[in-house]
Amino acid sequence: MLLYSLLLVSLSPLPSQDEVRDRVPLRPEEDLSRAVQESAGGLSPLSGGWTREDLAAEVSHALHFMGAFLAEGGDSGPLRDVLAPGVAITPWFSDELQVVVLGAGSSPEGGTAPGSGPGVGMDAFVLSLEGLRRRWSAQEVDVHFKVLGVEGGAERLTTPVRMEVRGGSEASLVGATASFVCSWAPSDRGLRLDRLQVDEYVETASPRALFVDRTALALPGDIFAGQLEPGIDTWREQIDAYLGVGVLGHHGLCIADVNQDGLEDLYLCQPGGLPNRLLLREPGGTFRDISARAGVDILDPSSGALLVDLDGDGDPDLVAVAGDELVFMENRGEGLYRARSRFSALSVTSLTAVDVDMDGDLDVYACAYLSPYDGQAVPLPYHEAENGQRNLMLVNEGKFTFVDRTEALGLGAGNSAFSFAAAWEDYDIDGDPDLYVANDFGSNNLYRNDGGQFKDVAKALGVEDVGAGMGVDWADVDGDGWMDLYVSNMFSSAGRRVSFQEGFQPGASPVERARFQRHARGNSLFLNRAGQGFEDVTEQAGVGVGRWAWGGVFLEYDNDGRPDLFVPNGFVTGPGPGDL
Amino acid sequence: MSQSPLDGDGEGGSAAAYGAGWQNLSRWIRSGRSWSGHERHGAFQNLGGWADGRGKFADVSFVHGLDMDQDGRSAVPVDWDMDGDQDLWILSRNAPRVRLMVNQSPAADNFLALRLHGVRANREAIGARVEVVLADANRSVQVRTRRAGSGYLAQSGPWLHFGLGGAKVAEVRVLWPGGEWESFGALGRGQFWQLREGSGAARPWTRPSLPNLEDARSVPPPQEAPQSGSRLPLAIPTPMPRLQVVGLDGELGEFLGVTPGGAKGTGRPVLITLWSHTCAPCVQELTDLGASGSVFDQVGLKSVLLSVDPTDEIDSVRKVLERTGAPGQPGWATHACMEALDAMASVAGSRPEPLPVPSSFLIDPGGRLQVIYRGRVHPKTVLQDLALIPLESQLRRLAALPFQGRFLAPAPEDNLAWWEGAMRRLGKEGLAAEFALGQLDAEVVGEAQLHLGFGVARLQQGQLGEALEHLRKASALNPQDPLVWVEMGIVHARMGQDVEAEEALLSGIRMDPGSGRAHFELGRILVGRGDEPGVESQLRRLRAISSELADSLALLWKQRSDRSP
Repeated sequence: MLLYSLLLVSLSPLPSQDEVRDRVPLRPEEDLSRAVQESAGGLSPLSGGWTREDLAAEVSHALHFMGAFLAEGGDSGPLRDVLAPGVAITPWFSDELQVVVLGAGSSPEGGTAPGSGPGVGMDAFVLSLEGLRRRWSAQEVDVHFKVLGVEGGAERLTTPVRMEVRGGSEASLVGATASFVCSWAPSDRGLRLDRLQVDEYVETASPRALFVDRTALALPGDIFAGQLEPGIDTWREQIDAYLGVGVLGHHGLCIADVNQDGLEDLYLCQPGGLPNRLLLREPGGTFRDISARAGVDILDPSSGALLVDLDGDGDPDLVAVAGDELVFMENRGEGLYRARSRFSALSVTSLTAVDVDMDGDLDVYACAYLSPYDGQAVPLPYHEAENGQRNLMLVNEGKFTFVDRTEALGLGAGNSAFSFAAAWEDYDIDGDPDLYVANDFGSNNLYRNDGGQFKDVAKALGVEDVGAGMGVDWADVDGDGWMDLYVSNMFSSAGRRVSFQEGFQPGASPVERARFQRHARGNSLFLNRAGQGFEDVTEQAGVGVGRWAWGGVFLEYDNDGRPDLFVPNGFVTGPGPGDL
Repeated sequence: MSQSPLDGDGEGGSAAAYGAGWQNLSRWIRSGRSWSGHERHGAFQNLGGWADGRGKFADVSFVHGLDMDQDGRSAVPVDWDMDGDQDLWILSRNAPRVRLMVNQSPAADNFLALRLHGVRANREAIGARVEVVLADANRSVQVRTRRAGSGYLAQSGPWLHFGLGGAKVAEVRVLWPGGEWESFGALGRGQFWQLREGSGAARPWTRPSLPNLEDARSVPPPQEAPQSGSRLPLAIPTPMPRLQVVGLDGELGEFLGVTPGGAKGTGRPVLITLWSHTCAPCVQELTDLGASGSVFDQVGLKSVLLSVDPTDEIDSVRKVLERTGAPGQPGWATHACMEALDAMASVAGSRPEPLPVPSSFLIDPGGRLQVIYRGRVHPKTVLQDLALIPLESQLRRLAALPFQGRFLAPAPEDNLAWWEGAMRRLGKEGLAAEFALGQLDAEVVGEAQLHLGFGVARLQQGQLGEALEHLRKASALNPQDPLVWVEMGIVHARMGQDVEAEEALLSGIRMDPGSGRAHFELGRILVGRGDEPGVESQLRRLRAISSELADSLALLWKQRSDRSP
């Protein structure tokens, strides 16, 4: 998760430096909560040595005026106030402008746009922004900046910036992302933008949003509005914390055809005190809640589950996390379940099944995560923790008997680094399944299956992916027949800025520093090179900025045969002011 | 705050400060504040170009309508309405926790859906590799793996979805797990097919009639409604810590409290109401209580009305009490009482926030906390909740929940250890000590240990006189217990009685020379006295016992030397 050390900055009562929104003036956060104040008492916010964070704040402040002008146009006075007289800007795009048009109909012209070209001087800068604004021709535009780094000194500061634009009119939606580098010169009234060098600009347009929210139509009202719609914070107010209604809200879902009618059904995991839900789809497509009748309305805290055939009779049985146990339940037909065995397993997160020993039945791999947020364990050391809970390879011995064969199969190496997710794939196409595991506080594992014995080859093949791993998925991104790998990680612009400063971990070796820095980079896309190694193409592919990412997955948006990506983001949104 | 130690032994950074940092984070995210909050989901469309090394995705989060700023967790792609395009189930931490996002791509036959049935392989063919060879110029191949569990906490369904673009399907072949390649030949576009291992032929599957989710009316994004008040019944009723209150006559009193093996009850159910004469909902609640006074009497429910107003506003407080006719014993909540009530509500609701007024606590006759009400509560609700009290523990736990279901783990008789840990994480050492006391079994540990337990608890709570009384009794019963002397020395030191403190600590050290706590406390007294050789001597011994304590003592000495060179 978040690079630990940047909390030095984040607990400070400074304005949020991460993001500048147009129309939202920067303002100091309210006082910190009493608890945090008490515990952070005596610690000066910037005493950790991250003095450049105040420069980042100044940069954000200046960008705010640029954002406001891009969003609203009008008076360019406030914008000019943060520009150096000789400010230079490179073209936003050249003939190679990448415009992605979705759906039929509108087709925004590529190439150049009047006024968006290069120039020197304030007038040229303002003209360039106006040109961009005209391109979007939207009634409402949101412009959002992230400052990704602060390099150089006060004499000459450069900051890589990511811009995100969202706009809409009745006729179409337009979005844009851009990467550019700003150079800043000091003046007696603070930093002035001296040069804006555009590295990339991509525009997307669509007559309407491809996806619409139909939850309320698909789910029965008492289930959706009554139980699944309210957020975790609502339930925290009503359910004893002892039961495990944790603040973090890690509860997953399974889709399977429980009653073998061809229609997929849904099993939802819930926090302690709320019952897991098995929703069966009727022939008409409506849901029937059979949780209680099926015997799977588990009230113990449940993070993950799988609906898979464990006894070889063809229908999906259930393995679910229930508090400190895994419960294995047999599907007795029509989705009626009976508990057959339980396995003591602390803090299990994701489950993933495969026939690991090729004996024709399914085995279960369980990731385990001790939460530092619940006082269960503190990862040591942060970037290569070894003190988590062991992940488990549970081998199916028939009749719902599962045996821990983690060590015996060679999966014991590096398997206590606080794991959130894992996914099986025969990445080398040798006929047996290999396993990738995403760890929050350490290198990830790629366990290659060599005739039934596993060996961690993550480092050798270049997929250690030092970073706070939260999710894993595989797909053939480049169409070469080899499965490529996407890992969801924490991305934090504050983390990037802080970890690249000299004051950061001064005692660390360059290698260690690099690992800390890598830790805040974001998601990773690795192309599989014929099973011999992987190539990190994240930056080129433009899929690294994941924010605080969780279970990113491959899917098809448009049936063009090329796997696309969806990444759910965000850690904890509270009602109060302030954000780390 | 501190940076992470570079290795697992805590070298290169302070492990203690690092641990404390995590504790701060833990409190922060429970306090209603954000940490990487309001972050939008990301959607990236594959633009191709991989063959010549220019492969790229475009950020389509906004134009696809998928850039909700929720705390996302899991996502599962699936063609839910079986219309040939992939929809998305998305799970989040905050409202709405579940979303079905329906893909509105126009109907077309540019897809293929396959379902595998293993025979020699596992029946669901999990682990199978499916290749669809297209009849395009390059004979390009699309690959999917039948997987159970990927992404994060997520499993998709049995239908494998292939986007075909404009191409026809030349061949579908499957590598069955643990088996061989099998070809199913050319299959028609825009259809659902079932593939059985060893059959060599695919069977078409007819999609049943399903509701059209795309044309339905749009559903407005729901918002988490602000709660006006909340009721939190404890799943495992727990002993209520001791509460100190001041009567309207100014007399200090106390009631309730955790005791070894249980709680100190009043023999009657009690409703404690925190209120202020300046708060309108409080006055309304007191009025409601006034109207229910006789019912309270009938059921034996005792009411305690604790004002949080300044004591010099006693006239206004009395006026409201008279006007509303609220039944019960009035008084002021002391600071310690407020701290205890805040902490109980914080732990039970896992949010370290000050309580609002009014807030109420329903306590059973045995002194156990049953229900916490934040904000206004109607007396009717309280009266109904009395029915929770006699329930045995398994039923009681179920009755505390908003929906029915089943627990697999049995309810424990008490969860004092959990409360102790939670109080400690909250930084409430005194309350933690009280819950630790509750875990002592009077019959097993004996009277001396009980007095020691009480002594430690009261010391943590700052009740020094009481602590001393218990420790004296403990020392009389068991004069050979070094712990008793060390704790007694600490109490004396806190009371400023250095001579008695030193004497007690030296007794403790005689019996247990390895007591770091004793050497540290003694060292502290010597620091105050400016006794350099004495401090040095304690430091030497401490270094052999605990480097952390030694460092702390050295720091104290340095600070003193810096102040008065």
